[in-house]
Amino acid sequence: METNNLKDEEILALSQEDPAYFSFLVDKYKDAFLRAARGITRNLEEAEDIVQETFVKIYKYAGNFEKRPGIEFKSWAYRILINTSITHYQKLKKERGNTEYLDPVLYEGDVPAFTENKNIGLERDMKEGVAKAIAKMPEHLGRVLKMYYFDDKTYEEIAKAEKISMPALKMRMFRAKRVFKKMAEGNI
Amino acid sequence: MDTNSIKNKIAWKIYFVWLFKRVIPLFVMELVFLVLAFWLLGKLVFVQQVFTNAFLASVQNPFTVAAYLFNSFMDTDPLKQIVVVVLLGLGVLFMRDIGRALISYSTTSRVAKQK
Repeated sequence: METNNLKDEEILALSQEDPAYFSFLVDKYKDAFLRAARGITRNLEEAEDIVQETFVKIYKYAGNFEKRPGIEFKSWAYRILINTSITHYQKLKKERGNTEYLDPVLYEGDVPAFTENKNIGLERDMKEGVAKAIAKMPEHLGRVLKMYYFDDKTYEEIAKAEKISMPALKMRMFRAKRVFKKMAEGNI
Repeated sequence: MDTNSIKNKIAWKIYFVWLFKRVIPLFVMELVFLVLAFWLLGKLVFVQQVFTNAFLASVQNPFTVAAYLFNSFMDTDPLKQIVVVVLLGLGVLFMRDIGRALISYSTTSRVAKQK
C-alpha cells in the first residue's frame, strides 16, 4: 500500500473501504496523541485508553469530517482527542470523588480567544492547555465551557443540553470563565 | 510505553468497526434475499426432480450434468430464469463479501504485527 502522496483526508476515505489503510494515520499520530492525552490526564493507562477511543471515533465519524470541507484533518482529530480526554478526566475525577467546587465570587475574567488563532500548532498547544484546565474544573462548569469553545454550541443548545434556563446558563458560564481564568493564572 | 501494542489494539478495533458497519449489514441483507430467492425457486421448480434427473444424467457421463442444467435453464419459463439469475448473482456477492472480510482480516493481522 502506497500512501506517501496521499493527504490524511484521502487515507481516511480509503480506510472506509479497506480498514488496513487506517494504520498509516495511527502510525502518524499515535505518539503525539499519547503525549497530549497524558498531559491532560497525567495517567499513562488512561491516556492509552483515550488514544484508542479517539482513533475509533475518528474512524466511526469519518463521514462527519468529509461533510465539512475546509477543515484540516489534524485539527479535527485533535478536537476529538481533547474532547475525549476531558470526558475521561472528568469521569476519573468523579470516580475518585475529588471534584472541587469553587466559590464564584472569588474570581473574575474571561477565556482567552484561542479559537481565533490561525496557527494550527500553536492553536493545538493552546487547546491542550485549555483542555487541561477545563478537565480540572468542577464538572458542571468545565462541561459548559467545553460545549461552547470546543463543540461550537450556542447558548440555546447548551441550555437545552444542560436542562437549565438561559439566565442560569449565563451565570454558570460567568462562573466557569472566572474559575478558568484563575486556573490559567496558576492560582488553583 | 508500548505504542505497538496500542497500534495492534486499534487495528483490531477498527477492523471490527468496519466489519459491523460495512460488511455485516450487507451479509444480512444478502442472506435475507438469498433465502427469499431459494424459497421462491423451491415454489416454482420441482427441485427434487431436477436433482434426480441431473444424477441420472451424471451416471452416464459426469460432464453431461452441466449440459443438462444449462438446457433445463434455457427451456424453463422467464420467471424461473430470472429467479435463478438473481440467486446466482446474490451468491456471487455473498462470496465476494466473505472474501473481502477474510482478506481484510489477514491484512489487519499483518498490520497489527508490524513494528
